[in-house]
Amino acid sequence: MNVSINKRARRLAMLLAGLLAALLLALPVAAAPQVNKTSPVNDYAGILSDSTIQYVTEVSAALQSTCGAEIGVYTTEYIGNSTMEGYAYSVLNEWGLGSADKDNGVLLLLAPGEDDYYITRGTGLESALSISTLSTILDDKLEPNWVNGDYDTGVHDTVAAIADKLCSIYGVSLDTSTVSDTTSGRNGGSNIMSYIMILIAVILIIWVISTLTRPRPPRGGGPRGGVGRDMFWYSMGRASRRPRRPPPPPPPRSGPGYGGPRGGGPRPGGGPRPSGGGYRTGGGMGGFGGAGRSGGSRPSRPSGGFRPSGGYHTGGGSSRGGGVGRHH
Amino acid sequence: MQLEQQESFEIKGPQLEVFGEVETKLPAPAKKRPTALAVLVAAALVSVLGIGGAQLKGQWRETSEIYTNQIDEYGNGIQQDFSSQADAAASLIRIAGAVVGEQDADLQAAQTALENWNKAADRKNANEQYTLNRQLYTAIDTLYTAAADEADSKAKGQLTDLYDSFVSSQMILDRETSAYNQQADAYLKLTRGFPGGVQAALWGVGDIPTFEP
Repeated sequence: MNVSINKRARRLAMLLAGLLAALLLALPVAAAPQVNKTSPVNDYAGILSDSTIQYVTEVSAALQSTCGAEIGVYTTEYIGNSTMEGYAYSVLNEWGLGSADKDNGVLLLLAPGEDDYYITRGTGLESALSISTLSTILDDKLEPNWVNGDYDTGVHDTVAAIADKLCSIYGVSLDTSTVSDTTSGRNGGSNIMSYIMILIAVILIIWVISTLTRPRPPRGGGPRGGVGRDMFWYSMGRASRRPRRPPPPPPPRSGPGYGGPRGGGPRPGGGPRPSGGGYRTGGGMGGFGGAGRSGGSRPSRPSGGFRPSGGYHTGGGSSRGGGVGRHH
Repeated sequence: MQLEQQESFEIKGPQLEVFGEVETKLPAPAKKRPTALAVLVAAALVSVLGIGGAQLKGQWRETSEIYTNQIDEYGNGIQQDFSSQADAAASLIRIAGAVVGEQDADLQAAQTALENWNKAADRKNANEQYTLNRQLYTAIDTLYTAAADEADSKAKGQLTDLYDSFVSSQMILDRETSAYNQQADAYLKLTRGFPGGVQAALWGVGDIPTFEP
């Protein structure tokens, strides 16, 4: 009888030890926050939809390209032993939101497990984006949706309001046609470019046809047909009748001016090819409504390394802390 | 006597020739080893107490200015943040006074704390301001809690905005003063050892107050 009681006691002790271990493992650990710097949304709590993430990404990228400011949204279930302000401070500085020379990042921290949220901004925005303004935005845009558990609408409206404030601070405007609530937002900005491309293509085709059908002057006399004639002969393969010259030796490497393999035969127009030449259509622009790229010119890249083809990078901004959170 | 005779030695290298030339022009007592030793000791004292003392004084000045005058590129600094916080406190007290009445004990405590703060603000003594800052924070926190309960929605909104600003400033100040304390502690550690203590006494630099009790 004593043996069975001892066995039961041992089993009970082991069960309790196992439960205790499981409980300890389940407790939130006060670790340094993880930050994915390649996206303006770090949804570790998994409370945001893809469309909300895309919206915030587009808004943040658009802001970055116009004024260097960035809005980041960070969600986590728990913050461990930290305070909301301390956690937000760590995240923003680790993330580097905003440009390094303006420190104009804004972080929206959501912790549904703590039933709390917090907003903080970079040092460069302390005067322009007051605590009172941020508090009003949270009270009007986030709180009503937070209590209903509608994080998507809350984040969307809050980010929109902050973006609006930032635009008024810097006197810029976002291209609203490129920032939308749906997944079609990415293609909106490229529609105009597509029409322009089509128009240019039509003009080129008409020109080529008209050149091809132009009556040719007799050989040996009359003015040359210029580029059109050269194109005609080239397109008809007449260039092959010219004596073939051996391919020139490869030029010495002097930078990114040359691109691609060199084929045999003479090349009309000659000379080095500008790097990345030619137009890139909307797919490469990420739908932000910027000007199309031509071979010889690029839109100036703002500080912060904005890359429209999905390579989001933060600008290295910092914060002194402070901010405002939920009014319980 | 041979011991008093100068030892002859061969100079090698153009640099040593210069010193050798100089030495030959010195008077006889100066060419002796004890004299050289005395000169060496004097040079060491000059470098440690002179140059080292000047460096210590520079460190004292730099560390002090972190607390008193330093501002960043955006015009932010510890004293500026104290000033912003005091402004928020003053506005909060004024609005709370309309809610709880001028005779309210919490209100009067907050007013006293703010007055004490304002009196000491110009002195910019970290140790003194630490005590007054904590008193002000406690008083404002208590007043806000009491006034927010009684205020109507409009007044409560105003009180909350001001309290948020007050608290936000405090969080920034806590971080800034912590960084300042680290610098101050590093300086104090030097001056409490040797030869830092002697340098500090010779150059007339004293302790730096820290922002803590």
